[in-house]
Amino acid sequence: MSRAAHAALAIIFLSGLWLVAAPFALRFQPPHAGWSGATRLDVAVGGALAVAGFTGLLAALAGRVREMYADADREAGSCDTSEL
Amino acid sequence: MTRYLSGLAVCALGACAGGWLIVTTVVLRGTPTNAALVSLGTGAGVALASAVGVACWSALWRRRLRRDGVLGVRPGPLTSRQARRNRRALRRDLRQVALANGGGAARRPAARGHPRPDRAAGNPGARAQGARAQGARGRAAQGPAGPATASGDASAGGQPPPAAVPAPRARPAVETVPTDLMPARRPLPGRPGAAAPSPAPSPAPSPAARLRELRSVLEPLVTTGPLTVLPGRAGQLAGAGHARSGQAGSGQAGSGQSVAGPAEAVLAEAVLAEAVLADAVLAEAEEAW
Repeated sequence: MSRAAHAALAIIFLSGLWLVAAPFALRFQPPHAGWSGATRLDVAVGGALAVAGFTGLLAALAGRVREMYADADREAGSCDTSEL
Repeated sequence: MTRYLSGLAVCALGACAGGWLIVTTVVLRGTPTNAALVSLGTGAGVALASAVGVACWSALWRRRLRRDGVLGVRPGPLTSRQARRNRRALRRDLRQVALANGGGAARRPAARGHPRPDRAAGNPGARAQGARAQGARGRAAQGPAGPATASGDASAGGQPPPAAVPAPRARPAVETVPTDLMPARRPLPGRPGAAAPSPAPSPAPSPAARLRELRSVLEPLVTTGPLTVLPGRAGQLAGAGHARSGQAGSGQAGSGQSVAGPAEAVLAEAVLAEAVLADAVLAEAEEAW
């Protein structure tokens, strides 16, 4: 379940990257011409998705690390209490 | 919590973005071009992944809240299969505890050369009577026998009835029904009346008291809450249970009441079988202890 959730975030991030790069990679947008409406839309939506996905991944990772720290502190506290 | 919130927020944003890509491609753009198809495919994929992510993050968050005790465990409607599984797990746990405590004392009566006639008969009523008689046999080993004799279930399965078997344990009054798993069992050593044998046979309890006792036995086993039986139906159900057990036990006391209907009789039989099954399990654990 947790892996699936993180995978969804990663897919969102990668999809954003793909949306930004797709018009140029697939040659829908000529190199030295003004951006078309479709290109502007794809880049805007893709950029937003990429930023959000990256932020979400970082937040999820940070939360997981914080939980691990909290668990380790709790275990250490219980060990100290049992030793006393 | 920020972890789950951020995951949910990002997935929701992804769903919105995917939906926006789909809408702009399908609705706002007239002729489908290759760029439109790419946007449509990407938007559909993003929306799908976002939906999966929302479901996963919400499930993770709920699990975390339940583990922390914020969300209570809601006992949903329990299927009969789940109830059977719970009973089996309970029986297994009790057996393991009994084995850990007393070694081989937790052997089932069937393993000691006493085949269960009720299992052979396959009749729930007979099974109920058989389990009741097993409990009586277990109590007979504790002290002198009571005046009553065993019912005819053993003879129904080809087993001769034991020589002196005390009467089925006296049903406690309504107000004295304990709420734990062992209502009115033999007294523990060290308590007053520990050396006393099985209690003297008391007059037949009222149907309402009988139903309450069944509830007190069943409710800890099945977590669906109390049985929703109207007070007016209690007498019918208990009477039907009496009638069924009287048929199976070939002349048990209390078989004079009439069965109101086949469905009620089946329900009462199921209630009685449940209670007696739990009774047998607890008797085994008691023997082991």
